[in-house]
Amino acid sequence: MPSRHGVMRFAPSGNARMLTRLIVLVVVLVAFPRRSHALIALEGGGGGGGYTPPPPPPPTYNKIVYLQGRSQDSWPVYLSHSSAWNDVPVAYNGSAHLGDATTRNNINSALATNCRYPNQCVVVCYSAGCLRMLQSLNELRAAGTPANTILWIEAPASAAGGTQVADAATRWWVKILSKLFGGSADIDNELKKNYARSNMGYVQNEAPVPMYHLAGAHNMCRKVAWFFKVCGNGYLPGHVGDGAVGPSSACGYATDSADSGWVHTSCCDGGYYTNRNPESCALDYNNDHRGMFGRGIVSASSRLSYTATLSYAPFDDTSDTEGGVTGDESDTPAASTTGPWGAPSVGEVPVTSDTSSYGDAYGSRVDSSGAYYTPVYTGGGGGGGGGTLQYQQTL
Amino acid sequence: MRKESRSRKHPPARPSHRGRAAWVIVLACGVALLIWRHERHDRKPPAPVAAAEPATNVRLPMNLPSEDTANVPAVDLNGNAGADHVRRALADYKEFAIYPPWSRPVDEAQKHVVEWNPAIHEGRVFDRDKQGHDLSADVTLDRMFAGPGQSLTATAKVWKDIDGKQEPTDFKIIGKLQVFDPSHADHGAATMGDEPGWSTVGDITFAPGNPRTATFTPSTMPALAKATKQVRLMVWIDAADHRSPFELAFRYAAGAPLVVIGKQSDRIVDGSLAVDLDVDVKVATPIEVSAALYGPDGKTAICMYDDYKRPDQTGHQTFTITFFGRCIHESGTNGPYVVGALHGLARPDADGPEQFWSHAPQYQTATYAASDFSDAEWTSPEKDLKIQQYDETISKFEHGQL
Repeated sequence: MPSRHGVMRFAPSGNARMLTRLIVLVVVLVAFPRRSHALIALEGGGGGGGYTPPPPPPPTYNKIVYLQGRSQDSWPVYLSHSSAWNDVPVAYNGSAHLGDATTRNNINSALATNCRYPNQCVVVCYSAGCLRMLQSLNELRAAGTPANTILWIEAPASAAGGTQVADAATRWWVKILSKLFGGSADIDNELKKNYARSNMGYVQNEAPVPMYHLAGAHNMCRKVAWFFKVCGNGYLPGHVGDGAVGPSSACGYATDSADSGWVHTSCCDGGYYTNRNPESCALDYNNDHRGMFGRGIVSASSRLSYTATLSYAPFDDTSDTEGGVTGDESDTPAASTTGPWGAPSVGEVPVTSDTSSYGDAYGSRVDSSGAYYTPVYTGGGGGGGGGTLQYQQTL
Repeated sequence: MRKESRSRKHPPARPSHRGRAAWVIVLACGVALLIWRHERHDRKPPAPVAAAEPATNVRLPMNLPSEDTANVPAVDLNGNAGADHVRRALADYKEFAIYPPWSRPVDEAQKHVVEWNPAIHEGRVFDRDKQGHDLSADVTLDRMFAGPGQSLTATAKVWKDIDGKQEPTDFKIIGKLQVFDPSHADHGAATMGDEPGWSTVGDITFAPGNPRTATFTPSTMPALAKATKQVRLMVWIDAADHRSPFELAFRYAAGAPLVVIGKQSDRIVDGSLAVDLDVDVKVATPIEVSAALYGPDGKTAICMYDDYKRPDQTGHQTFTITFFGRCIHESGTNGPYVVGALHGLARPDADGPEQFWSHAPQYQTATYAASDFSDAEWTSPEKDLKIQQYDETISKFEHGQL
């Protein structure tokens, strides 16, 4: 039986109440971190029903998966981003057949590892890498392990819809892609429009989240003899494209211009495959297929709230213009198309011989052997500041 | 022992008011410290992961700058810019996710799922004659895929362009069926039709005339009958002293991974149309099933279905395909509906080519009104999680964590 004194002793005074509350608070804070609170709240609420397992916590690690294109063995320039993101280049031969087991396994593994819980990812695919990505997404879906934490996909110069440039042969029956890019590749036949849209049609709606397309419209030419030149756009419907891929593919349209008769001069005409979206409506007349790689880096970095600045390497070839080349077979655009056709302007892609140099708006170039170089960003760049450029052979 | 007995005999003296106040202050400071550390912990960016990824296939390319140098941050524009981009992605996702990925209205994006087996052709100007007229050729296969026992017909025509008119011209033609064997593939330049890895397994003979046609059944050709392979028809056209190659890559199946026997039933389930198919599974592997739901005319596709089934055994079983209710409701088309364009693929050999299957017959459903089906948007835990993921990412950008 407590004495009066005892009762008074255990009756909480103001300070004691505060002390008690503080102790309880401390215990709660120590025992349950904030995320546990969220889970408790989610699990609570129901009452009376059966047990509903809580949803998994949000993905923790942030990845950027890079899928290169034809003639690339690696991804040469990463996005600019904060330290919260981690770059994931995927090693594969970008020229290999779509069915190449090693390539498929590597891409499947990269997406399954980095684009599923506890990771979340952004995928950046370039050119033929976009078709490989869609193929891989289908295979992962088939396996019951879909890449379900992708946030979005950045797709500059996507060749997922194929290209008539891959269909075309020169008059010597040599593939034009090998003329433009310095060699044939196993994947060339699979980049044909029919193959990409019919034989591989089942992958075209595989993007599980928005896939943002960027399309170039600067022609890409190459002189194959001192008097003759081939230009990629000459093989594309309406002669509109980035020299390798037309807007039908680069914008993600579900119908190719060659079939619909509608020559796209914008990425905002509607009629896309599922989840394909234009990053911008306007075609990029300053960049050809190679330049669109850099444009994609800039644009994808911007999505991560960072700037990427790639220095401009001015065109330094002052020889023949496109119109002045004898035997030019492909430079007259269809009358129905729009764009800066005619005399080349600054940044135009002038090729006067097999040994000429080449420049584009993001500093890419081809050396005297025909090897393609693209700038490697080594620092700086914020706020338009210049970085140091190195050149690495690619594409 | 000594301490224990002492505590029994001499309970601690009750603290003075000043002492209690001191304890309260100390505890308050401690709590404040804990709260501060707790919040700092939450603000911490996600734990960075080493650049070398868990996947063993990942490597840094030669000459590539290290992650540190390659991504020396430019200027963080500000978190809101990133958040705005994610909001756009979220808005685009929500628009997409009105319908489930596995059943959507038939629009341009789905047209190729319905008309999935089109004719394929390759055509171009390939030369000029001595008078300078363009010579053009067009080679067509009547469809992209041929199942077991099904034939393909190739048609080739050549013409010269004279004052805008197409005038047929004589030509010679050679047709060869080629298969690809990756173990024999090697990289490097090659003439079309003679690339490494491709080998001829049969001649295709074209009937005379212009156009010239040839019909063949891939699955009955000895070299193709055992297993499905990557295959193509190579055609060389000779005209005006030049030979030009044309490539037509097609699909065939030596054996079907799935045979549809018939329709068992159809009914409305949760506002959507569920159709039970009686099937015979030939290979216990994930099998993609695609189909279209047509209006009563059997021609106007209103809704498509595409999903993987994962049978764990071969033999007779039921596959249920579901056409999403809102799809049908919004079409305003009343039944009976027709289920058709049944096709799909499987990969019995993980490293091999896809094995397509198709089923030509169509099936009619019972009579329904479009209004019988739900017009509700798609809901699922998968969708909720995706939206949650976007919301979390927006929040992280806003709080400077990304």
